[in-house]
Amino acid sequence: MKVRSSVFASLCLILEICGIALFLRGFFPAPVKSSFTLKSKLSDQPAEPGPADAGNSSKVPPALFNRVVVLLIDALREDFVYGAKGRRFMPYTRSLIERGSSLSFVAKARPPTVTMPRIKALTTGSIPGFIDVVMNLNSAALLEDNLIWQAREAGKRLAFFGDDTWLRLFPKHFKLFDGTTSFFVSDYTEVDNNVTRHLDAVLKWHDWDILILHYLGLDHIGHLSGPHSSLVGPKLIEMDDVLKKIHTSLISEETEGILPNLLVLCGDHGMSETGSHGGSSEPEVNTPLVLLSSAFGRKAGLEKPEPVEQVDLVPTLALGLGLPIPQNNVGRLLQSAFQGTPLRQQLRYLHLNAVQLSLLLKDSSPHFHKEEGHELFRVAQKSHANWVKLYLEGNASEVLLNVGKKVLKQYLDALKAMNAALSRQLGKYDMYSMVLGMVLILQVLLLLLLAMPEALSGAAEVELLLGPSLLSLPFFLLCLLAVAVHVLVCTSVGALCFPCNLHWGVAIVLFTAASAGLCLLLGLAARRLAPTGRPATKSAGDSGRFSELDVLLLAGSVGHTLSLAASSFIEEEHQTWYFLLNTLCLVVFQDVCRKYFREKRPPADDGALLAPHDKPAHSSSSNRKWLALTTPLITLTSCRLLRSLNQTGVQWAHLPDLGHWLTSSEHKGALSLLAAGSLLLVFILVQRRCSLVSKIALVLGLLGVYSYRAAVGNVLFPWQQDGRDLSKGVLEARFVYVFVLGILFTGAKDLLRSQVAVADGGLRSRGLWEVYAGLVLLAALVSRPHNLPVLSGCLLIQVAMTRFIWRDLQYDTAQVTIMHYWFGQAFFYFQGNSNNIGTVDISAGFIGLETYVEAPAFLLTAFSTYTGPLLWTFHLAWYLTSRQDSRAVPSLGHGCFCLALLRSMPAAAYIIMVTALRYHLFIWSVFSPKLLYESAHTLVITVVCLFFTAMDQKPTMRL
Amino acid sequence: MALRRRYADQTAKTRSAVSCCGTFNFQDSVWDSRREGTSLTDIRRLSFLAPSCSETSFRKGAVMWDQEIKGMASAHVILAGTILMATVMPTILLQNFSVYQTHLVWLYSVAGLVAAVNIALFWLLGVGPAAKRNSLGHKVSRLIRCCLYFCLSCLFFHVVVLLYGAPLLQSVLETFSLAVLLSTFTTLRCLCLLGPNIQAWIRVFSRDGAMSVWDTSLQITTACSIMGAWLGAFPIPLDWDRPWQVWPIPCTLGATLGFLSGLVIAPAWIHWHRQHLTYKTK
Repeated sequence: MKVRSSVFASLCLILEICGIALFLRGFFPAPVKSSFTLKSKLSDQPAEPGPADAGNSSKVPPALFNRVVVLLIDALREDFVYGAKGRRFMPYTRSLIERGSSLSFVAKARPPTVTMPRIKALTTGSIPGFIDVVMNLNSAALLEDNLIWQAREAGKRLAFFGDDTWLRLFPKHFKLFDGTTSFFVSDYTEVDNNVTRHLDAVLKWHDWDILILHYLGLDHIGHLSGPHSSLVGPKLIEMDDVLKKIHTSLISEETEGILPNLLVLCGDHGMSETGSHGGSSEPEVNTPLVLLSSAFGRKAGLEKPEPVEQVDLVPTLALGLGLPIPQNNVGRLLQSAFQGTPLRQQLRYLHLNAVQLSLLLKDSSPHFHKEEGHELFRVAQKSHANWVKLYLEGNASEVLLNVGKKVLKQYLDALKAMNAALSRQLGKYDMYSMVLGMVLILQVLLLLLLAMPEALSGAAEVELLLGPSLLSLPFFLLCLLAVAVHVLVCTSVGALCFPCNLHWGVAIVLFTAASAGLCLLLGLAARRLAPTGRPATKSAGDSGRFSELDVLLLAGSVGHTLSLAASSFIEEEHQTWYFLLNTLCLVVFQDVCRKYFREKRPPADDGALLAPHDKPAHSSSSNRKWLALTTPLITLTSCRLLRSLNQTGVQWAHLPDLGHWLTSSEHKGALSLLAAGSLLLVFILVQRRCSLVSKIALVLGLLGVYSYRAAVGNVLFPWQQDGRDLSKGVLEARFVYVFVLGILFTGAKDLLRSQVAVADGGLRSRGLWEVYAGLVLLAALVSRPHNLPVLSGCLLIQVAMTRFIWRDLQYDTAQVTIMHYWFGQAFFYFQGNSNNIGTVDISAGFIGLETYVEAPAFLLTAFSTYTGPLLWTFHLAWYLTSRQDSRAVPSLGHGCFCLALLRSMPAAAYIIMVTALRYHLFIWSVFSPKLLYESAHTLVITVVCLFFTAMDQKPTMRL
Repeated sequence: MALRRRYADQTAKTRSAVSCCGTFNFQDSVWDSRREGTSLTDIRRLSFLAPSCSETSFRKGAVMWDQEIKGMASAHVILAGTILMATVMPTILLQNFSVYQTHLVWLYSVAGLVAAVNIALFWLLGVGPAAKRNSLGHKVSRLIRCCLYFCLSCLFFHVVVLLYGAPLLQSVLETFSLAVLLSTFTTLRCLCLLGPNIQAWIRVFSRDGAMSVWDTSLQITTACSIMGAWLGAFPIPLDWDRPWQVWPIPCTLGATLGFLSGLVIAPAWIHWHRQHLTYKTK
């Protein structure tokens, strides 16, 4: 069976996506969760150990606090309170920490330090898996057992003001609420005023028991201008005032007879030196946690705050409010908060926490008996029972106290050990799915590599011996072997592996596909290795003449793949791409020089003879020569300018860049000019090949983009009044969407006509250009205003390269494809992306939407993240089609195949490296986000390859 | 015929006086073969072998060939020794000298010494371009042009390094020093060997354009220096926080090591290929 190389590549990529999905399922640990679907109830709390007749022992001890206010300040870094900034800008808080009745801790947030997983951690006490970050966009209601649910069940009245993520996580849980979207990152005053304006009224009313305030302003300031911005000080002073207001109000209500109130000041995550978050650097992870209540003893002076885990707040709050601890909690209670209570009660609190942890441990690990924590817990429980017996007998107080202290210590040790065991559980990999996924991915890579000579030949077809290999004996043997291994693994490991939990039908299909792939691979390999004289000599002749460009392209692709093994190179991957791109431009420059100067020399030598004939063509050709010579230089210069637009990565991310300069409010005029200029340039460059209708649509669409940015408040509108309110710009954005769809539609119409009607290559290339123009318009809408130069630079380079370099120097399809891929990668980083989850621009998902809608938000975010690679690959499709007219070479198929190979090589290598480095220190902070990026990129390329395959349809129809 | 004379002229510039006559013959044969319609690449391949096949007697050629390689190798050894000296001498003469801390001192001592030794070597060996006119004014104008070209090449390298992502305003001096070092390793040698003659430069650096041992050695050392600086940039993003990771130390060290290895590779490569190629032409 003969398959076109584009179809072959697409099939391979789809198989690869399956493999990656399987690998990811095994790599990212399912969060530690108890399998009970029920939530903990007050009624079935464990009884206090000791004699059965001890009285009301099965009840949860009464609440310690009357009302609780949680003041959550987004991105509150530890040094904003405990450091020099805190002393200067938060005087009231500092005085309470130093001398008031307070407890202060440094709470360590687990990476990923993104708001939604942190909120989940702060309410459920579990540590959200890495996968939760991907779901950050889609914050559906939280179904796990959590504090908010428990509080509502217990009849507490809840009030909430601030980030509306809470309202999405806990719908119908709050009696009083007002959500603020963190949609306008440029706005750092309104978001907080929205919360503070309710404060006075709420503090006076008495119809709430728990009040949660989530302030977003500080986070927005961080994103805008970093932690050392001049805006941070005033914001901290504002927060200090809010805290003062709440604290004085809570203190003033306290009277004799009622329980004291509690005020919790905390941050969900910190802020890196650049002001972003998501990673695991110290400033991102360390947040302050201050508990203020008259129940605590007064402090004498400033002590060094004790480091704790962020989730430790959950059991503390739960027990302090007299609620059951959420089932999936892995935190340990903050013992110092309960210091004021009698010893029996303290032990009871610890006992409840320990029982909850031991249940979780029992549920998540089959070998919990061997765990040290479990053993410690049993011992502690036993001595606790003895202590209760002694207590009830009314023993001497001194002995009782000493024994009690010992039990307390035993409990604390047990909690620590169990917490450690549960954390270890988080780092457990499902090796079986990982290996299965890896086998699939490697198979795909080998298939692509072995099929390369055939697929890149003139016919662009791959001969697959599907029939013979499916009927062969090895295939059946392999199937049997795979099933046998599967049964063996599943019976020995138990139901812990994901593939074992698959439906048997799905499993069989999977194994059959894998064995078929292996058989095909063997067939291809046999054919390659078979001694056939002709192809061997041909390939030898080809490989004999590698130009510098070929060497660079090969070495660069392989070198980049190898560089992924080092965490620094992943963090600074943009540097690799910029470096390679620069070298590429220089090599292209050398090629151009060689073409124009070397071929010029012989005529120059005997120029006297040739000059008269040359004269007419001379001026235009010399013009062309100089333009061709300047093209690589222009490319180099624009790349240098674009890379200074957004500093990304880790090491140098804190350096000031043009993007920050432009987005600061003082330089709005400059930003407006730049945005307008870029949009104009985009129009000039795109309209050349568009039909008249599309041209008009493009003009209107680009105007719409500008007015959208003006409406949102990013840029100035020439005749805009100052007093105009900021809006979401929904109308303007939808206006643009109409034109995007219109242009895409005209493009699609042309493409369909070219498929059905006579073979008109021109029609198809025009259709492709229109599709490309539509995507450019969409990119202009979703990219941040200071990134518009990236778009115009991309178009400029594409146009110049197409006109003067790729055609004139007669680069073949593979070379052009690799260059497009490299440019696409570099532009991915020019946009300000990095291999850190924190740089994904989520706000793109809200453009033109009133509320959060999952599918469009996801698509828009993906598009805005991968704008660079997508635009370059679509340009490649257009370029190859437009070139196809002149030559009868199936360029699209070759391009598609090269793309698939270029993507699967780093993906496969990276997956193997990640497996090898799975116990590396940076596995969660550096390698895992990169793994997600690699998978997403492979998905994007798969979609593009499917598009290529659809475009490549014609030849078969004629065949 | 005008072209023919020019060809001869050019070769005369680049060749030492001894083998000049032989080259003439060779060029003639090249010219004839071109007339007869031999492909251009063939001529280029032949022209690379200019020194070896310039004589009719292979043995005689081989002896001369060996002499030339030996001369070049010894010049290279002296140059390598210079770099070593430039590193060792300041350690003795200056206090608080270290390659990392006082990097620029090291850099300029290397650049200066290499430049001086290069100029002296080429002047003594007389490999450099033969002057057409020996008038003082002509010499002075050539010298000025050489200086100008050197400065331009420094600027060129500076711009290239900037394009590669060096900070625009910070540490300008460091970046420029790297450019100076690279120019010393590459442009200065070109100037000594070929003179301020762009045509000759283009010839030498186009594919198969070398016409003497010195041309090939120039090609190899230049390529090695630049490749060294290029490879030297790789450790910069690593987060090891070592003293040698500070800009521009990895690149200057890379360029120096590249240059040193170029000095070693060039004679070895020529020696190895000489056997191969003379055999082929026979």
